[in-house]
Amino acid sequence: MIKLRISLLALLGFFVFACNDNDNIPTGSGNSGGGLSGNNGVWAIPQDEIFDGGPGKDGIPALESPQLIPGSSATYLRDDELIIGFKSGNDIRAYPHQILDWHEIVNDEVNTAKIAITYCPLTGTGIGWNRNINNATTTFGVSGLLYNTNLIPYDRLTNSNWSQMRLDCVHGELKGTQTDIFQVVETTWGTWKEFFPETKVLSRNTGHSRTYGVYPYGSYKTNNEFFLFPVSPKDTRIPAKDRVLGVIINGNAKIYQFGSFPSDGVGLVEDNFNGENLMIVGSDNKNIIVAFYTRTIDGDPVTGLSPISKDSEVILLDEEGNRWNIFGESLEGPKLGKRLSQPVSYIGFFFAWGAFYPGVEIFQD
Amino acid sequence: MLGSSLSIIQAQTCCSGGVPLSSNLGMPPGNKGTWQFSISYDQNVLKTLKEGSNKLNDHSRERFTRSILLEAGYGITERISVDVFFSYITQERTIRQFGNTDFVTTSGIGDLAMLFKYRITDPADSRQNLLAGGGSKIPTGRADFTREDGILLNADLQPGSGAWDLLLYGFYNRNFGFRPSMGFSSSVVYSFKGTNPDYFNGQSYRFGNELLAQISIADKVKLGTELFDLSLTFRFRNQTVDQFNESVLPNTGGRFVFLAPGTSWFIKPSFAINLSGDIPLYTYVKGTQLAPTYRINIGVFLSISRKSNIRNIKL
Repeated sequence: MIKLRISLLALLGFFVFACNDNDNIPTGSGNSGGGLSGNNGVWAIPQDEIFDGGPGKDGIPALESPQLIPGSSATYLRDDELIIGFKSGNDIRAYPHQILDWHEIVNDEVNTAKIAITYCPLTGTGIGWNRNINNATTTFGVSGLLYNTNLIPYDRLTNSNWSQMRLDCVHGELKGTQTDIFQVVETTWGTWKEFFPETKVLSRNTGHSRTYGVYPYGSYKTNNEFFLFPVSPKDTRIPAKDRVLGVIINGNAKIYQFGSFPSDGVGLVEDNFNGENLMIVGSDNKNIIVAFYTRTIDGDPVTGLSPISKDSEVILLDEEGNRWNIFGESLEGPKLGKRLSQPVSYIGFFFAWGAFYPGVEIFQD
Repeated sequence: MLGSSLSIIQAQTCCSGGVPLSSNLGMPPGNKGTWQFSISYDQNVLKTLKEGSNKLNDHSRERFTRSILLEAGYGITERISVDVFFSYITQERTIRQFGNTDFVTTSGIGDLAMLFKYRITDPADSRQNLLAGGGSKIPTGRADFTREDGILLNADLQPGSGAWDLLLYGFYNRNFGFRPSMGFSSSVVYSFKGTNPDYFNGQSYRFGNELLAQISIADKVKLGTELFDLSLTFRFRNQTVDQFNESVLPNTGGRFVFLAPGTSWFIKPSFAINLSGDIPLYTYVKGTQLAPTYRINIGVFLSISRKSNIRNIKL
């Protein structure tokens, strides 16, 4: 009997040992910032307002060099679904929200542009980041952390953490570094493919098993009272989840609403913000707003602009006869090949603009 | 189990490894003056990503909840008894992605539960027991653990819930007349979850209410001179959605059915080693969540009475 008991106890002991199968993992958090020297380990944003989102670092997997399909084959997309569009030369790509909701970052190379499409489903902000930083090319991943419920990407070269909406590195070796951004356009798939029928679009074959097309946050994007993480301050002048275009100049922001633009056709708003003359072009029914300075990148003034189209990428005509598209490229006229200068701008939920830019200026018609 | 079975999903909310409180709550019926003790190691593993009841092909994420559970029960009278449940919890989250491993863990004393039980049936009736009870889970566990760098972890990774819960309990067992060593039992535990009012710097968080119902059949067998109790349990768990500041959290809550085989090895009539495991038979999660993959529990049980109240076991 003693032998039997010893045998059974040994078996049980082995079982307990074997159950501890979570081996070969380091101790502590891989994203802790431990080991950073000097001031780099201190966050540039209030640490007590940074929260662990739950999935953990890379728990939401960024996409790397994703598979693309012709727009004409993207039957999985409805015309009213939002996409983030990018154009570099003749390479035109669309990144649907329904895929970005599950991955948040797409590391891609478009023509010569090494771009990371960063998208935060909780603030509704999609921004194109330049992956070339300090003469080195990196990729970005999802840290699993949130500040004011907004995505904190990390760069894989230095493991530094960045704030998506602040557009800077907030923790780690690159702290204080600003991001260069590529101008992207957020609009509906219907508008995008009408403007750019030759577009390519992300394939659902991402290498990850996710329920693309199923929005993972319930009523979040339509329920103005529904938040998953703390936000401060809460600006209630406009419904929290209204999508607005924010323009940032010298650290100040101003927002423009879709309601300021015609429900049929394209409208132009001329405005002055922070001493800069701006042209805000948009269409409510086309679900698009973009912002330009009244000059080209090389400083040539552009005057006498008027909106001209609602069915093609060409949206502006100036008094010299130049025709400009939604990326500010002159496609026809004496300034052919030139490009309009653009302020930093992107679309996001209003509450996020109110939190990141307290007292944000609101354009009034 | 405490907590939701999430999280998460792979979106910005998350799953819950869950502290295995409810499924371990409730000592066997004991008589007046009887002390019962149980100490066990419980390992709850979630590494199955599900959307609804569909399994997704993703193996990048794991949640382990390792618990040391200590339960003490005392028979105040022949009808009234009290159980107290202590726990020490280790929560682990591992992400293996892009060749890297991200590992976060917390460890600490968990919440304490206290359960008062009343025997409705005649205590002299050794063939059957019907008990009803109620109690509370008291937030003795910390719910504000941070990562190494001081960033607060979410509710799913905390050993404690930060909330008082109300517990309702029911239990019935009966031995079969044709084979007295064999019997069945069933139990129900319902947890009305309270609210943690100090989650994420003054916000509120409430785990979803939980119903745990189980039915078991057990028999005693002899292997040589050793006495074993073999059991098979079907366990149903329903968890409603979690709430953050009154907003319903997506990707929380679900329904689960487990098959739980178990055995007890009676070293002495009053001392046994227990081994059991949970295998999910059916899982339905709301949204996309990391769902239970398996659970094991190993422990010892000790009963001390003024007079022997270990029932005679006929084989």
